[in-house]
Amino acid sequence: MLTFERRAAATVLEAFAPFQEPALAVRPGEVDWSRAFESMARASSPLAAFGLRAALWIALASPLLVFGSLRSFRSLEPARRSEVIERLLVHRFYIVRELALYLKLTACMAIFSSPAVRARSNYDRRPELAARPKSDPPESGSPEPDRRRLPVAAAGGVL
Amino acid sequence: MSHFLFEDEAEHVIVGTGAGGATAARVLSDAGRSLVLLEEGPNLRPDQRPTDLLTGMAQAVRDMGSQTTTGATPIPLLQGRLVGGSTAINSGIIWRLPEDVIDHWSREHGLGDLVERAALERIYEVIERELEVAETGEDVLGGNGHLMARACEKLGLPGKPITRNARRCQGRAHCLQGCPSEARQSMDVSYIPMAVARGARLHALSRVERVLLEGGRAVGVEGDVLDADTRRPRGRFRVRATRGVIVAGGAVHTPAVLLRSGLRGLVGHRFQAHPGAAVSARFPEPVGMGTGATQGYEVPMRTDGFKIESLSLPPEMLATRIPGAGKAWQERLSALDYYGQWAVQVRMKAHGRVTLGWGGGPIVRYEPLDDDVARAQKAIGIICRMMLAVGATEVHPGIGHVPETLRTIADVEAFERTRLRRSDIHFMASHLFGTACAGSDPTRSVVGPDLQHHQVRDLHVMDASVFPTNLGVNPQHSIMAVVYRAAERLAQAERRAA
Repeated sequence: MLTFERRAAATVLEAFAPFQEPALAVRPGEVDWSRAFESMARASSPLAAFGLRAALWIALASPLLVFGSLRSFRSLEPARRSEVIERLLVHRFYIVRELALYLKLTACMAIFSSPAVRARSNYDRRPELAARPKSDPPESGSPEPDRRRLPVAAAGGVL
Repeated sequence: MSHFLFEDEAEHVIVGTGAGGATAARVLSDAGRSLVLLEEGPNLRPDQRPTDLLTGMAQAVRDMGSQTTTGATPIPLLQGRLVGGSTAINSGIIWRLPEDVIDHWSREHGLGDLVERAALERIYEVIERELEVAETGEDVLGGNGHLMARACEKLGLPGKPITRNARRCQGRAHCLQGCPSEARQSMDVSYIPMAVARGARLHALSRVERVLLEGGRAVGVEGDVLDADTRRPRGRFRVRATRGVIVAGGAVHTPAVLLRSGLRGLVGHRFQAHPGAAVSARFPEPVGMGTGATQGYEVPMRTDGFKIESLSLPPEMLATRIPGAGKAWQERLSALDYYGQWAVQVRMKAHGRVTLGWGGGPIVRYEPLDDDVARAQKAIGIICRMMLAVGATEVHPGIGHVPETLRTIADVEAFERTRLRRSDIHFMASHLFGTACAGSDPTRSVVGPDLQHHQVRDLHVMDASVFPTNLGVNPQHSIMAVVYRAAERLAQAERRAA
């Protein structure tokens, strides 16, 4: 990878999770974005590695594609960068959506390869949750689904 | 002086160490045959496999799961590339070959002897005993599995705990990264060590390029020895086989090996799969997907053409499925342990084909049919309803052109009314079939009912590529049982000939 690409990869991937207040916030220097990008490209199939690089270039060009602005991606405010990325993730063109999702997967790989972030996520093993009583959850705002309207012949579905 | 990095010889050479190759090794080593086992991936002990996916998948999953089908809407193919094959990265789900599939294969493909019920019954019992098959216990069902069980109770769905080859499961939710407690009896900790203990020689990082053919029979294989770090070839190897070659590289790489060996006919045809899609949801109390069986509960609905399963993936993959980027996404990530995730596997009717690309690697042409997409949509709708039934506050179906978050039944109904296109659903496929089909009619199949190639003597195919159809259930047990039966008959035939 070129030095420019490495820097660009870090800028674009960081836009998924810029430093914010929530508990999982990725702190500056905590995640090696460019190493993750490089590792993903190296371990992927040649076509996918090409796609990952293409995704990077699409993201860099996205201020023009999304906002019609001639500003560079790096010159955007962090929140604006995230907004651009969000727009790519729901883009009307399938290929753009998929490539943006591939960038997001790479960002997630980077984030959770940091032991500190992983620990803060509280995601890994919590033995007290392994065997939970089969009780109903607390009431939530969601209305109760109507069993009669379930579009499947439930009993007939068994092997 | 030889230009090979290594040369070896045995009675049988087995290409691939997944469910098919390892089971063949288990049976033939038991029959006293000398064996060489070849595996393209590394030989990793479960305790050597990293927890984080970035390094873990790079080591154990082919191309990080980035190998895709070709076509307008590529589908990633998740395949293990290490000793143990995909059994070392899956959840060890055990389903016997369905009765209707046995009937169909017997009637339409002349495979009655191969899938004879009494023989399969005996074999299932052996495999299930040796691989510690048991239903997932309540104590390791985990929050994700328990939630699904409650949803089934509420909606009257036919759910049940998943039967797996992991009786001693401690619920560490690390199936994909390698079971750290070695409870899951994947091939790398069961049949491969068993065969090696009986004298089989295992060569990891050895990628078979082609089968050597002489006088109409298979006499060995040649290929590349791969560098452990770069996976690039660092030399050649050759293994001679005095009795024959068994190819068990899976439904994508078995046809590639056969095609590179100059074998054509129907090789590569009839590729089939069970592509799947996942739905995630946020709940009002912690779910704790990092605890419990990776897949502990299921809703089998074969007559509807799909099967729903709980799926506790690592945080990297869950976070990718949660919509958005930036502040809102991070806010959701800060409550990651409040999320659950369930998935559907669809028994698709589409057929594809595996061919060779410019470099000799496989290309998979496959495109789901409209009917396949409709069934996937129906299943996703049911999952959304199940999640709302047990209190989900936000459901993320992960579908293009529909809202990213559904909160009410009315939202789900609107989703169900939407006509989805193939490109709207993010499919991934790990159950792959066909491409070297078995059958009694050589004009309609590649190998016979004994799984020997119709034209090449002593060349057998023993993996899911011999299946004429997909199954509608997880295939590992069916692969092992069918291969067990074929390998037993091969050993018996050799004994008679001797």
